[in-house]
Formats: sequence, C-alpha cells, structure tokens
Amino acid sequence: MSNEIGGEMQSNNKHITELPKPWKDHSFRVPEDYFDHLPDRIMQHITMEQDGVKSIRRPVIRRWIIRVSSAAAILLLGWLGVRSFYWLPHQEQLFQQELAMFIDASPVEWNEASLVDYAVEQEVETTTLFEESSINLMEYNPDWDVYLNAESIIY
Amino acid sequence: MIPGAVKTDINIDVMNPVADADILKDFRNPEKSQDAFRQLVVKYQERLYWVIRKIVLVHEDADDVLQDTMIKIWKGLTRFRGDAELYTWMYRIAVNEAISFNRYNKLRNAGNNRDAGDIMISKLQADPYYDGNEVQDKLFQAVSQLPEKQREVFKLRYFSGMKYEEMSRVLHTSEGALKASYHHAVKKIKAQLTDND
Repeated sequence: MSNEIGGEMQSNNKHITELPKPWKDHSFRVPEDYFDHLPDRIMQHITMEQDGVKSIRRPVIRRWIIRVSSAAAILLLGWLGVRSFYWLPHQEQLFQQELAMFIDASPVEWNEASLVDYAVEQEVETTTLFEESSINLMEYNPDWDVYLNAESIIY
Repeated sequence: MIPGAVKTDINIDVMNPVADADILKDFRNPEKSQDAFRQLVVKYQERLYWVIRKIVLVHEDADDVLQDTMIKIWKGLTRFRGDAELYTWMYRIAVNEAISFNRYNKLRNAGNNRDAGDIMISKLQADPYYDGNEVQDKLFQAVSQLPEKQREVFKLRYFSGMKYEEMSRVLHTSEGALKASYHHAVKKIKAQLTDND
C-alpha cells in the first residue's frame, strides 16, 4: 500500500461520518412477528432433518447444486441428441469409406453386405479387417472359403 | 404457531436468556437437545439475522440464509469444543453462509448480462421490508456501482462493522489489500454522492 493511500485512509473516518447510516435509521424492517415464528420454522426443518425427511426448503447451496446438476443433465441430453443426428451419421460415413477401401484393396471380391454384418456382429473395426484371420471369416460365412483358399489373403 | 411446527412445553424467558454453557449441556442430552436448541435460536436469532441482512440486504434472502445457518449450527453444535465464544462461532457460520449466498447469486446471474450491483439495487428496491429514503437509495446506488471486491469489503466493513482481521480470514485476502479496497470504495461512494447532489 502506498504512503499516499495510507495517508488518505486516515481521512476515511471523516468521509464515513458524512455517509448515510441506513442501519441506524431503521430503514430495514422485518415482517411483523417474524422473530416470534422463526424458532418454530427452524425447529420444523430440524425435526424433518432428524427424521430423514427431505426439507421442504432445501438449503440454498444444495438447491444450487441440484440446479447445476439439472443443467448438466440437460446439456448431456442435448449433446446425445446432436450426436445421434450428426456424429453417428458421420461415423457411419467413415465406416462405409473404410469398408470400401478394404474391398478395393482386397485381391478377392467380397459381398459388402456380409462384410458389414460381420464387422458389426463381431465388433471389428473396418480399419482392422485386414488383420482378421481367415478362420474367423470362414466361420462366419463358409461361402467365403472359396476366396480365402483360392487367394493368398490368409493373414 | 405455524402448521407442522414442533410444539414445546418449555417457557423461554427472552429477557433472561439461559447461559450458553447451560444450553450446550442440555443440547448434549438427547432428551433435551431440541428444547436446548430452541433456546439457542431464541437467544441469538435476531443478532444473527442482522449480521446476515447487512450482507445480503434483502429480507427474503436473509430469511433463507438464516435458516441454513441455523441448520448448520444444529449439525455442528455437537462438535463445538468451546475454543471460541459460542456467538463468535455462530457469527462466523452466518457470515460465511451470507457471503456464499452472494457468490452463488453472482454465479446464477452470470449468464444474464446484468451487473451484480444492478441486480442488488433492483432486488433491494423491490424489498417490501426496506424503507430507505432518497439519501439511502443514493448510497446503495453508489455501492452497487462499485467493483465486486470493493462492494463486498464496503458492505462488511461499513454495514456490518467487521474487523479487517476477521474479514481477512473470511475473504482470504490480506488486511492491507482489504484496507486499500475499502479506502477506494469510500472515495468512489463519496464522489458519487457529491456528484448527485
């Protein structure tokens, strides 16, 4: 704190005496009989807390935690909505592109629909289809053995 | 008696309140704890109410914060070891609750582009239990224009008469910084009141 401020602060008391004093002027009131009823209201809440019943009037901070949690839940639902409308179709598009790349790069002809079924059911990423063993593929669809035996794509 | 309130047979003499030590002793007896706590509420409710009201200003908010304070006191009283005076301990809970309330209010209003000071003044003017005259309205208007930190310090110091040492503990700010904030706040308020005259 600078000396200038320190010096000026000495005169604060003089400034303060010139400011209005709303607390001494009784500008702030409470409802009639407020303090007569307050102990009953407080004891009512405490009894409910003791009985394990949720208080009618939640503590202020807890009420805000509930509101923030609700807002977070709404945001999450919103995000899931966006994801189902935008993100999932986007993933679907990527899946189709990767599958097409696999079929193009493969030396044999594949039934695309069967490959899709295989990838989905076996939860295999399209990018790792090349790494799948021929045995797995044949077990899934015996018709593919023609291709698998005929060509050297046994990995 | 309000509906659902807990009935009690005890007769509380407000003019001759029971000593804190006796209240605490009774509170530790499960059969007497409710009556003892009621005595504590009756004894200190008004003092604590005004501590809170001077920080949150509006009656409805003060009522909310006071009830939360009392519930915290109830929950914490079994752990009160008597290191400080009982009232000092309760006073600190009340101040912390009131300051937390103002902070949560600030967070709540963060998205509506209105300054916390503007919200404070409009809530105060709508409070049916505030009868300020023109000069007092100007004072609160000037307080509402202060930066948040200065406003908080001014309210605690000027309205509540809180010592810098106590304020430093509650606001986690050095006493020097608090004194400087208060000094700037007083200067700005005085300038604004003078300009309005």
